[in-house]
Amino acid sequence: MKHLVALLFCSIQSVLLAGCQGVAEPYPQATPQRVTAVIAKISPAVVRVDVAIAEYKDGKQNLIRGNGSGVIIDDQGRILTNYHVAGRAVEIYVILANQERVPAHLIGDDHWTDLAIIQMDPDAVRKRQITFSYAPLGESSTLQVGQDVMAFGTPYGLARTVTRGSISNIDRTLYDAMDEMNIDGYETGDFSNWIQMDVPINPGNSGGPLVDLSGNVVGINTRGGGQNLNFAIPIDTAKPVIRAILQSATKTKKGTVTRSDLGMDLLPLHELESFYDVGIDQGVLIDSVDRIGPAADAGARSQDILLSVNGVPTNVRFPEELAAVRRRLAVLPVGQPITMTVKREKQILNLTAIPVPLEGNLGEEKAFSHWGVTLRQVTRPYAVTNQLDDVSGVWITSESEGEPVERAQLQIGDVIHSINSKPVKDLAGFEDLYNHSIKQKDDRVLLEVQRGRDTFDAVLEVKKYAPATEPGDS
Amino acid sequence: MTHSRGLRFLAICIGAIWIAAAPLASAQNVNPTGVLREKVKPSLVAVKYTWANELQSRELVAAGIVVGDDGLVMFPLTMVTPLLIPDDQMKDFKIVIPSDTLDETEIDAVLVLRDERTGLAFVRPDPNSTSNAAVQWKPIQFVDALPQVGDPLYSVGLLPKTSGYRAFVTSAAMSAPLRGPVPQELVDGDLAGVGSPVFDAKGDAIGYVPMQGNQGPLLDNPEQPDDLPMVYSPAKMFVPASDFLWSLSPEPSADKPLVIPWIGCMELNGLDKELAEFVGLTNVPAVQIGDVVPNSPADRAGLKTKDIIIKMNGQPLERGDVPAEVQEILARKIMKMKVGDIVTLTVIHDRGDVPRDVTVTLEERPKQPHSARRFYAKDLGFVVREVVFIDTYHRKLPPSAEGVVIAMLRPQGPAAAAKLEINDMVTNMNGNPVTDIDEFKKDYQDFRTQNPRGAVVLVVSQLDGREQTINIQPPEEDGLSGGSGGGN
Repeated sequence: MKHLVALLFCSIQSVLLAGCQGVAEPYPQATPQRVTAVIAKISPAVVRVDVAIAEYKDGKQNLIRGNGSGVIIDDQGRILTNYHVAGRAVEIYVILANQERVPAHLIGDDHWTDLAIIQMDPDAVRKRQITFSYAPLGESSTLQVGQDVMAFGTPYGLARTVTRGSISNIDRTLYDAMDEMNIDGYETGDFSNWIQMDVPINPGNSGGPLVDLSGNVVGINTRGGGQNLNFAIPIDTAKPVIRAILQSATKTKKGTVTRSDLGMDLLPLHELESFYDVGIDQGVLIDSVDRIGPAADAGARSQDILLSVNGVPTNVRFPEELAAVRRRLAVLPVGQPITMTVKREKQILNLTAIPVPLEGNLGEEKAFSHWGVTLRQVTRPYAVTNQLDDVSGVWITSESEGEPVERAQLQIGDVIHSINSKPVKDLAGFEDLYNHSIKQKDDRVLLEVQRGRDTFDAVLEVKKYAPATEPGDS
Repeated sequence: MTHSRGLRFLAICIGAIWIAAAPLASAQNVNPTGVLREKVKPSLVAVKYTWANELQSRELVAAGIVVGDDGLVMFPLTMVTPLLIPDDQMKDFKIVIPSDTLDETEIDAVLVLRDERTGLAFVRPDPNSTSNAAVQWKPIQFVDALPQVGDPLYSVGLLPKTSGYRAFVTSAAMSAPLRGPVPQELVDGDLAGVGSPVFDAKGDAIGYVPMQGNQGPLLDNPEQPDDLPMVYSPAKMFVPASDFLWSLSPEPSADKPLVIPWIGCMELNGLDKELAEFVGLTNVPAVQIGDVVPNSPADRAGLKTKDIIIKMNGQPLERGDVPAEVQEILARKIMKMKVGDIVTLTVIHDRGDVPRDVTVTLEERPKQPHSARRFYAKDLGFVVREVVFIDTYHRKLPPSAEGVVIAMLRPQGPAAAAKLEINDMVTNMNGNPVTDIDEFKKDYQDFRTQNPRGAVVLVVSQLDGREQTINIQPPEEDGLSGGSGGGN
């Protein structure tokens, strides 16, 4: 049926265009000339990205190899790709259109938008006199449904693959499937809607460019819904992320996007306006207030209607409008008081909240191989959803069988609050105490552990069960 | 297995000799199993009832043992587990008396008690029934006696309904006593099915067969109608009478509902060998308190989370076969006490502490989900029940927090479609705070009367404490009858 509708639309459009000679085309069409010109322009800027991603499993850091696509975006050899391709990568090679293989490294990433930036090793490029071109970034806001577009990438590793189709929707929200969309547990899609297209893409296309028939990058191919139902990140979503990553990246620290958070869930008001006695397109429902967080501190409550923040309306009637409001809240300066105007039953209240930095549910992760465990930082959202008393400690993500943590019968998800009676504030604090214990050559280590509402002590038999490898390699 | 088959073969041979030489030998020492089967058979019955919840009903049958002159019957609690089956969902109890020659006799019965302390439940003939046949009950008297390892044992049970509830007898020998929260005796040989009595060589009833391995309590499992687990993979353990005799005396009565005591420590953890050594308690069975519920008896007595209990009433704690059993033994001991009883626990908090005595007065255990009253909003396909302690505890809410909890959802119903979930705690309906089940029921029915097709907006607190607004659209079709009361 969709095919039929699309065909009908095309034929009606042809009739219209034929009858309107001299009227400018609303968008460039895929004529053979244009298609070949776009391929000539974009192909030299498309790369295959081969990665080894750090994965923490069985109490150790392991490397998982995979590949995806990317597009070179400047003359420095910087490449835009997906977070789920190269974020967390510890080893990267890119293969250019001319089949040269060049080492690269991660500049920065942002799981919230599923984007990452990598860069070809400038020394390798210079020494080997490798040539490449880069693709111009267009605009996604001017895309129109029905417009012809092309995808470049390496489906299943098959480099230099070009596919063609059209835009199916320019403002797709995957709101209802948000929980299933996460990348290995990392949230994604909260701050953007998606371009939906019928351009064929497959695993391996991820990170490659979606290009209009003017030869500009309008999106990053990211998700396949199967057959002719695929999704790309709009390039307008990517542009500020690129800027933020490049601005914040240093030689020793990967670039990130700083966003702020008020600690509450928002719900579109569609079909609930009369229930809450608000006008059509007025405000957004605060569905849940995090037990620990700025909104709770400000006195906001679930069922309040958030009308505005600092006087700017926050209207969300439909799910499609949610990402834009989330983006606006996310750029509020961290630490600076803001005014939330809320409607609570008949009252209008002004609440003062102080935004905190946005954190995901999953904090930083590291392996502590001498104890046979991998651990993550407890983040504020993790503490909230796991009913922890406060934002402190580290939690077990994996264990190595037969090694101290597993032998002490600790479980994945257990939160470690102290080592030898010294409190563990965060992952760095844990690492210090761990290193100290190793330096002291402790035979046994006492941990305080929380499992749900249960708190108990556990003793690690380090001397007895630690692996034979040299300690200290966390 | 081979050994037990051998024993049975031997028993059959002896039986044949006995028939031939009946005038010369007494039954007791020549054919113990055959005689025992005949003796015990009148005391073995099936207990049948209908488990009917708001969405469906199912008939269940288990093995029972007559233990009272008036037809009091004990059967495994797992048939009517409180964790799964609310009080009001058990209906139409029957005591089924099998017969080798006639149809089974069904006696109308009433549930007397579900004794969580011993894992037993009891039914009794319904005194108000007008159709009950007069029955001469032949109760089994359990005795607190335990044979030595190697001594012979016998067990008599009922085969499933598909085998006509025929009585069958098995033989075994005492093999090893096991330690644990519920002490169990391991046998060499076969025992009869779950809920069957176990006898010593004198024919005294000394224990019963609990749930174990792949043995279920059902005598008519609809999923496996031809399954005979009690024959093909027989039970190997029984519970000695010493563990449950006190549940029979005084005789359980529906007039005296069980009041289970509570100390208010939600988590108890047996110290493993390593931790025990670390805190200087080598070879001392000990239990660490994982969480003290605020304002509970333990809290008021001054017990703290992470206190380590080393004695109860001046006695060292009882050891299990593994550390995790120490706390279960302790918890079960407390469960067997009475409300108002005083328990003295000796505790330390850290290594090297001088032990201190803490005196706790036991109180009644908070209400459990199975006794919570319910209401079925049939048109939207959800069942709510009263909030009980565990609901507020999981959410870190004060026990006084008000609401109702989703107990059941009709698959594909409007509430399920709106993503309401079981265990959601409803705190607000249509803009009004929910106080309790009665108010909720009244408000819901009033709303339905006034708005037969109105959507219902619920605010729920999920198990992780997050709140959610659920907008439930009523079904399009007719027949919106409003909610129906399903509570007691």
